[in-house]
Amino acid sequence: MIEQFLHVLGGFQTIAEPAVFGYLVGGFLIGTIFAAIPGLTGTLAIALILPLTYSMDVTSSLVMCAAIFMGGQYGGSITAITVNIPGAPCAIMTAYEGNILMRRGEGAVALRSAALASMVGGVIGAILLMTLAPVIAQAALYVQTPGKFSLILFAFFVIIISNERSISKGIVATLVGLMVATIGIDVASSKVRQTFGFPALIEGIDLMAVIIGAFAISELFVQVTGSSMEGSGATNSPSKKVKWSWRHFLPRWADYHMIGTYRYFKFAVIGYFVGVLPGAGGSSAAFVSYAEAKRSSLRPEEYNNGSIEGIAAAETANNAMCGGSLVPMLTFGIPGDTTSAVILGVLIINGLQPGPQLMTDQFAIVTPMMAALLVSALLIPITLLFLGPWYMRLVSINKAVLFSTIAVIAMVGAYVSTFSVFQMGAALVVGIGAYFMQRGGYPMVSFLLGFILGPDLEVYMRRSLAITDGSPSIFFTSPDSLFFLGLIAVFFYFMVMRPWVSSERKRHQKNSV
Amino acid sequence: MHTNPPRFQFGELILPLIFFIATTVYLSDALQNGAIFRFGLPSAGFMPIVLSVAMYLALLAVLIGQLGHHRARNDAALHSPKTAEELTDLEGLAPSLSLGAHVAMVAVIAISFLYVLAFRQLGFVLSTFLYSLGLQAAFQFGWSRGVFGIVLNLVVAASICLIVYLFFAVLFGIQLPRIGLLK
Repeated sequence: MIEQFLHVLGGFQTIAEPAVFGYLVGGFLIGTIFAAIPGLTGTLAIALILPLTYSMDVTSSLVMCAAIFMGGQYGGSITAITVNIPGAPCAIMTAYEGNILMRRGEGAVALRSAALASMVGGVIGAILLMTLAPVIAQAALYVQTPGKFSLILFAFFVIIISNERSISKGIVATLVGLMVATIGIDVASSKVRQTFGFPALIEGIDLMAVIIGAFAISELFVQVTGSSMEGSGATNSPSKKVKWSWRHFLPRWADYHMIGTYRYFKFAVIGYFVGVLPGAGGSSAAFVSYAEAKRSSLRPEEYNNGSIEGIAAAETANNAMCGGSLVPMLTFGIPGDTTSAVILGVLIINGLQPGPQLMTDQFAIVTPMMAALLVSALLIPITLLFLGPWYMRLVSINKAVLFSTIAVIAMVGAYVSTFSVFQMGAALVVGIGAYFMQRGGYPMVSFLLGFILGPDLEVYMRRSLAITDGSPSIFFTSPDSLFFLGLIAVFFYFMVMRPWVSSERKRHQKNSV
Repeated sequence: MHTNPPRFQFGELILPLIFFIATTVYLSDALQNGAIFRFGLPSAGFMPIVLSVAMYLALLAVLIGQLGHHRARNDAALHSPKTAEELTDLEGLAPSLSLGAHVAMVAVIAISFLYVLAFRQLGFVLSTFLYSLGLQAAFQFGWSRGVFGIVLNLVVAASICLIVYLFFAVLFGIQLPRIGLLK
């Protein structure tokens, strides 16, 4: 135990070296910028930097990757709040609440809250990683295939019922996402399916194309139709005359107090544990935390209307997820999400074999990376002080100039993710579909969750059924699966049944009066 | 006050109808995947068929919900047009667009498709320059400024090209398509 503590201290000592600290700051800025630009992600940044790690020592490589990871989780919130385009999928809920505040002229508050929550989540996630990593990794192993299937069902359920406007539209949007995800090669049998006679569809629809389409391209349509109704020369900003200074972005005690230590800790723990589950990732962490925050909120009326608490829940969880997702990757070589999968590549390139031995015999090698996660989380509000006014200027740029630039970056981003013109076209088609779905009141969050988690849902379902020769009874007999199915039942009771019974009772009383 | 009952909006009937047609096409393709179960286990066609059936049921639920909301809105409109508008807002339906907005959107869709088609043929620089110009025209950027507006459009389009090129090609060394003459 003491030895472990000394190794962690040694990790902090290592990142204090000027060269290593330079890599940390550089990595953090690269991650933030990449995540803030729609179509680019922290994962892409690490993947692009991967060849550079050959010429770097292993410590610097891992420190830089950890900083990019943290910056990448946070950076998505910047454009999510300012221009309603989440730079990364984990910032979807932040866009949902934050952009409403931005339009109301409270963009600085939203950015400040997102940065504070990201910092708190990042720090708690990193501390939990340092202290609980070996124990947590073993517990996560108990969640087996049927449990993972039920966990994904639980995530779908939570997001669908959080769309109060229409649950049935949430189900349709989720199903559309699941259907789009089945296009291409079947992950379980490698058989080509759902190509409708178009050979180009064999490669499937890339996640990057879907994200760019659903958020960047559809936003272009929203803006161009809005602009032609408002007239030319419009900007996004309702408050462009305000002169933003660093003081507007200075974290206040009131911001922290509004959420409270207990709730911050709860959101961070949710994010961390979702991160520990292999394949869950930052999006799931943000979704689950947001749903729980909404369920247990003292101010539920603020949700869907610019809720600071909603932003805090999503941002705390997705940054705490960074620490959690490294647990199964470091101890068992199972990456928790796509970014940690790329970091796994960095470890292997540098001759390190992830596994229990890495966490015991070579623990000192990975502690600078853990320390880098914590320090880069602390950098979040500091960089906001310097860059916050620039983020706000994003919206005082003329709409035509801003959205033309975003459209070009998004389209070229869709191309460079796979070097496929087909994916550019796919992004455009998804964008058109997303625009009309949004107009019809179909939630994009459900669509995206269906698309992202659809392949995993299918694989886990088929693997589970293979165990019992096709009998679905396994989902009701496996304890981990039963746990998540039980959670679905609890959420159904508290978020659907009880409010419905209460509203029916009120209606009855009103009619009888 | 008596007002005409509100008509069905775009999202209420047309979208479910589009989803219904798309699901039918999707299901017909899924049925060509062969047996749903092989050796007692679900095959590649299983999930698409399950999703299609679930989609039909969900669409039915949406339709029933829409008809209920429509009826409620009609009743509300007889008493107060404002309440009817509030009900529309609660359902998350967007307000109707003007003709100009429709034209702008169709124009953006058309030029975006042209951009995709021209990206490799014309190369990044020329296709992006033309695409940026097209988008600015759709936003009516600089229309009221005469010749200065035209010059401004050209400068902004060239700047967008340069920024995106510097970002992708120079900063991260990503190779973007070049026009045949420049290869």
